Amino acid sequence: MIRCLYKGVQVPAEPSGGRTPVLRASGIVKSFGHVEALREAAFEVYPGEITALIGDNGAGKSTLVKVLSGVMQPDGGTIEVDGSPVQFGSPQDAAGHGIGTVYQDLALAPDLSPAANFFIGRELLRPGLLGRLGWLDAGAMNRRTAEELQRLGVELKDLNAPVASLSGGQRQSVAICRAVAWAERVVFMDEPTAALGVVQTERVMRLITRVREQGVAVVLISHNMPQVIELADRVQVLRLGSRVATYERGQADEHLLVAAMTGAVNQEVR
Amino acid sequence: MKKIVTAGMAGALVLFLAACGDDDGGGATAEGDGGYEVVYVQGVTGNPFFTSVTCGAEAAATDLGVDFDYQGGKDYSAEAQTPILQAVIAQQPDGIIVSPMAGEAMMPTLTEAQSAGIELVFVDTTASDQSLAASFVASDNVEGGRFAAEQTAELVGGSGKVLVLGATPGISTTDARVEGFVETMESEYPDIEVLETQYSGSTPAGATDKLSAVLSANPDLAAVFAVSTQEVEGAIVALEQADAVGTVQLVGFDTSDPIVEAIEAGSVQGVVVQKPLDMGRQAMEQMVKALDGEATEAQIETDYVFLTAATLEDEDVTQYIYRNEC
Amino acid sequence: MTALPLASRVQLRRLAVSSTLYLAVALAALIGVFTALEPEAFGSAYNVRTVLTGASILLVMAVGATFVIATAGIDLSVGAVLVFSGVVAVKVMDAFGGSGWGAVGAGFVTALAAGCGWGLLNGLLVTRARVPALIATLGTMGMALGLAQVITGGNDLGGVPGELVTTVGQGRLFGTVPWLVVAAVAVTAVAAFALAKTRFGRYTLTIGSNHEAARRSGVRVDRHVLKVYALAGLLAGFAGFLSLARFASTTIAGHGTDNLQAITAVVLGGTSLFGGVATVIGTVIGVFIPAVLQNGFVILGVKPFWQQVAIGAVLVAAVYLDQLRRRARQQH
Repeated sequence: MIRCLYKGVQVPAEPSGGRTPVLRASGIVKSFGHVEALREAAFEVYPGEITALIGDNGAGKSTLVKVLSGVMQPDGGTIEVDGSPVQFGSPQDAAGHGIGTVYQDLALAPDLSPAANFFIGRELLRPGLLGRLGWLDAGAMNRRTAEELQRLGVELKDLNAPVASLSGGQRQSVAICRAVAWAERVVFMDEPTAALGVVQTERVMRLITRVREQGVAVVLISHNMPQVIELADRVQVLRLGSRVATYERGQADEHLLVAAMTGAVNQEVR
Repeated sequence: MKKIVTAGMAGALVLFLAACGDDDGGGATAEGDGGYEVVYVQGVTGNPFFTSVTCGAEAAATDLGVDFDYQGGKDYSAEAQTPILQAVIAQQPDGIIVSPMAGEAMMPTLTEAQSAGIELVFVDTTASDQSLAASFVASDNVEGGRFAAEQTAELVGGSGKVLVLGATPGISTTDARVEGFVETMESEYPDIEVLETQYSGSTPAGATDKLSAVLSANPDLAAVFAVSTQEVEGAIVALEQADAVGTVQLVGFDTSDPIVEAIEAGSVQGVVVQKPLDMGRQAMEQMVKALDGEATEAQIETDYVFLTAATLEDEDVTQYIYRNEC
Repeated sequence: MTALPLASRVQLRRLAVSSTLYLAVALAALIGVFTALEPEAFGSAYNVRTVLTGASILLVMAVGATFVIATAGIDLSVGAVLVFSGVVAVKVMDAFGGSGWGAVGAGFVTALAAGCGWGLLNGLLVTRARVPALIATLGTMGMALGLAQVITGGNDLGGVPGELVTTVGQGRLFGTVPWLVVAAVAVTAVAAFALAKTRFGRYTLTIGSNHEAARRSGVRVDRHVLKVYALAGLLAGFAGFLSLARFASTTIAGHGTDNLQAITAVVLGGTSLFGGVATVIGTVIGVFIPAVLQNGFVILGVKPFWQQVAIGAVLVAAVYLDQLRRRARQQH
């Protein structure tokens, strides 16, 4: 039996005024044929914050995430990392700037161990000639994986068991820890608790706050309003391809968020 | 209607193949003097046995002034033979010599040929209704097995353990060789013990594995009868592994280049060889008789020769080694 | 590439290691029974040697198939590629005079190159042309065998250099271990290490488990799959060369079921047809279970037709017992 242990975490309230966003997008345009998925969308992520990105289905959330994580290239607009303009040609480019993604399908190889999954495409080789022959340094990979999991308070009993033998929450945790291990700036999380039960959801939410504690900004895409209100330091609402509202922690209740998503409230009238 | 279209398409294909074949000597046509036109449809192309039948038929055609051509499918199957035969029928030759796939599969097409007024002669194999053909020329495989048994018995001096290495159960020709061999041994050589027949699955590797296992259980094996070239090739390897070349007599059936080499090297004591050259010649002679309206022999059996290291220089025997070209 | 529910994958992966152990025990039990019943015939050095030698060429092909199946692919062309490689190798050795180690070396390189070439074609068809592996390799199977028949006119070629046959084909290391077995063991050892311990093997399993995850993590999936098919082709070419050494003939008609035998061995050895789970050691056991059964039954004097029945039944029983064990474990 393998299980995860989480520690309770106090969430410090932090002001954001006057700081440079770790990731800033402005005027992002993306069309598919004659459908405008993003219309000059703006988005900011501040260091050490959990930023929720919400919006109704079709509002452009996933397109925006794909643009910001390098999966898709925008038709127009600018992206800045720590104030410098950048261009992402691929997810690897984004990763190079410290930006990672936890995909909704987790993108784990179910037959492989957590350690093997942590290092897909980044396998560590033994030093010297053996390494040049492609000999994996399994010990080093296991150690680093164990360290990363421990850093975020995730405990797995057997690092060699296949990921498929873990519970849904544990799998989610492995995917999150993997992303955080390779992304020092921002991690996008697409519906991280959508497939989980109540207890496991609670655990993953604690893990998310713990990621923020480690100094990595989190972008949370979620339909779960209570969860957004509980976790997010900042909520940005997308509607019809543009941002329509931004709220800091405590400024919005569920009612207001829904109003913004449906168009009843618009802060950013142009 | 559909059949005509198919035949037409197959005809076009055959013309194309014949055109292509001119480079490498395939689709050869013997010069005739405006006499009969006869086509031989092989069991499968590129097989030395059928090539030798073709050589015999072609030689006879030249002697008899017959315009001769041949065709064949790429597999030894009714699926491959049917369109070829249909295309040949579409050419309306005077006669077709054919080695039909056994059983019912070729019957509709052969009946078609007959209704088109084309004379038929079967060679090597026959369809379920043999009366369609003016004559059937073949060697009897049961007789071949008997012949192999006599040769084997002589090699082992009339006593000892003998193994039959079969191909795949259900193939009528090789099954008949097994039957002839076993019956002869049991009825005429009481001092010879015939072991349970083992089947190779028609692969040399299978033959090697089976014979090796039999040698483990029967180190005193005196001889092996391998029913076709695959089994002979596999048996050679097994005997070499067991250091039993020469002590265990190996008798095969049919020839191939590697097997002739093995006879020279002494790892095969002898192989039973059919006379496809004679089959082709006699089939052509019967065909011409039929076309001339003379009486034909309903069935002709050709016999066998035994190819050994001693007879490798004997032209009477070596002329029957199956050929890759005439 | 994969559509297996996660729950089934759990069992597959968990059982891969224990299945290997279980099958090893089953193989040991078979050997024990046959040895007890026929100690002198079955247990003799000669018999052990012939069983090992008989399985060595299939083993080389099955090792290649293990990698292909580990990526959730399939290669039906191995037997035909074996034949083709042997045929062109004989032709080249003939051109080099038909004897001497120079000719043998040229033939060896030719066989490997021919096998690798067909493997690359398979890989390109699968990765670039996006033809399903089943169809792509079925097509190349026909092409390779057909071309071998075109080159030879359908007749087996002899003329294999005597040096090759008497050493690699029949010779033994230190007078005991046949060179064919040495070659198969070497290939198997390197492959087992490569699959379990190297980045090449890790990529192979990752792609088979979830090719999309591999792609998103920056693994060049298509290029790797191409390499895997090329490897399987290379090993089929090597097997073709070994087959020439063994039979001194191109044995054109004798390899129609090599692909099924190889795939059976791989699957019997615990490798998942859905990819992601594979061990080379399992494949070794998967090759030897049918080989030992066959040999033992002949020695025991089981009637030929009953041999087939019994071997089929034992194979099904082995997998069925494995399934029972899985179900029992699931209920805990």
